[in-house]
Amino acid sequence: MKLCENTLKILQEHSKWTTSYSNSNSVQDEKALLIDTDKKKLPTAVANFIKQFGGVEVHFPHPSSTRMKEDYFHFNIAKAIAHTDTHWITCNYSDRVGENLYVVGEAFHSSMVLCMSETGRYYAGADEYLVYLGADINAALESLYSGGQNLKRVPDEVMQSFLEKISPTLQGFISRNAVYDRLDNMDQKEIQFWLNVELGRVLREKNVCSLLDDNKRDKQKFPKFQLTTEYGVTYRCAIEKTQDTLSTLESLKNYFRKSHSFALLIHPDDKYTDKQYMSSQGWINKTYKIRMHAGQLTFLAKNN
Amino acid sequence: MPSHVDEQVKKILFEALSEAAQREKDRVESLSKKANFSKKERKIQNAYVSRTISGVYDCVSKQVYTATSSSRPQLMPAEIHPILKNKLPLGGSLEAGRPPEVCAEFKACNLALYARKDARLEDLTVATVMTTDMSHKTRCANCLETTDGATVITDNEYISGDDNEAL
Repeated sequence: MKLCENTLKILQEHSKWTTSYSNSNSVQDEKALLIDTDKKKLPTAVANFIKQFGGVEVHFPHPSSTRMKEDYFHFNIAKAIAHTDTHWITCNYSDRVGENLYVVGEAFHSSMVLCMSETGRYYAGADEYLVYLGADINAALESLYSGGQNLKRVPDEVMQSFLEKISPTLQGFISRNAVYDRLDNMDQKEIQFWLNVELGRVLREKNVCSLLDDNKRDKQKFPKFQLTTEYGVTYRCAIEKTQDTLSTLESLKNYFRKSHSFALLIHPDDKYTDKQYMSSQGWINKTYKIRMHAGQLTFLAKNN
Repeated sequence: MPSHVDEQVKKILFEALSEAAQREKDRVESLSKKANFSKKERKIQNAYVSRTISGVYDCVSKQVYTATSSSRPQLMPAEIHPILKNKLPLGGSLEAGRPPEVCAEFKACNLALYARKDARLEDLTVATVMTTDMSHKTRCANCLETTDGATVITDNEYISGDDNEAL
């Protein structure tokens, strides 16, 4: 691996790394990574990285915080694996970037796990957040050293394909950018829910809500989203009965249970009333409403 | 001077964290046991262990609140307690690729502040660990700002300031 002047400077000034450095634990690190990934052989790029940089820890002044004395990243693979549910890397991150990723360390005070791809690209991830650090070690170290500001986020493939699927339904009511802004923070089901609410807001602004209020829904125009109630400050949204309605509701159930508060909606289809469905699912037995105020969504739990 | 944190409080906090971490692992494990559990299913069900877990002890109400990192569920702006909202870094996130409100510390403090009407950050003791191995986790630059005032017992020596007590 050819190191540029800046990379050498970062490594030599802020770590014990030297040009003659060789990772004494490279065999153990490779073994740990092979066990973790269930592979028989590591890609050459990853194996070379481990030999050249495995075990290195780089401490440097935090680039954006005055309260934090220093930031650090390390290439201690065993430690990084111990801190991470590696399903994130094997099942989620790898799919999102389109090639297998391998844990090679941690960055930003162990807040993120560092991953390297078979082709030598570098990424950092924490839960759903995955950022691209660079196409080689020089770019990656530069990104880490500079605090990773303005790093490019890697979107979720599931959301991308979902967006493609629902785009025709939006009929220009909601801009693609508005949807993309949400993609980083929501999964497919949450997006579906948010779109319902957002669509209600836009429809009200465009004075087309009466069309829906009067049960004169144009099903061709709004095939996937139904809005069943008031269009004042309170919205109730319905999820159209589709093949995956139940999994949608299951996902939403988990989502709102976990959030300790608020939320939804529920009108899976005409066969159920809200409460019947909820009690049959052992779900929330409260009535929920959502409020849109000053451009922000507020979720309210009504006493019940 | 670092605030003195009662050993009993530390014990309560770490016990709560240990239980919460186990719950998080159990949640993922129970989902993974489903038949035909594919990668796609894992994504949809969010069957991954959150990276960090944070516990907050309210010394007035004697209650413990825990929260995991991750943006799911997403904390909407209206759900953020005004005290925390006022402490959000002005120029945006100080950390790479992540907004302040996805941190476990932030979410746990938010719960604690909302749980008691006159709660203050000064009433709270915070501990954060890596969910997988329960090792201590230092606050990120964002949490240093947002939880400023709380007593934090899992920061390391790289943090400046006097409101934390490294273990």
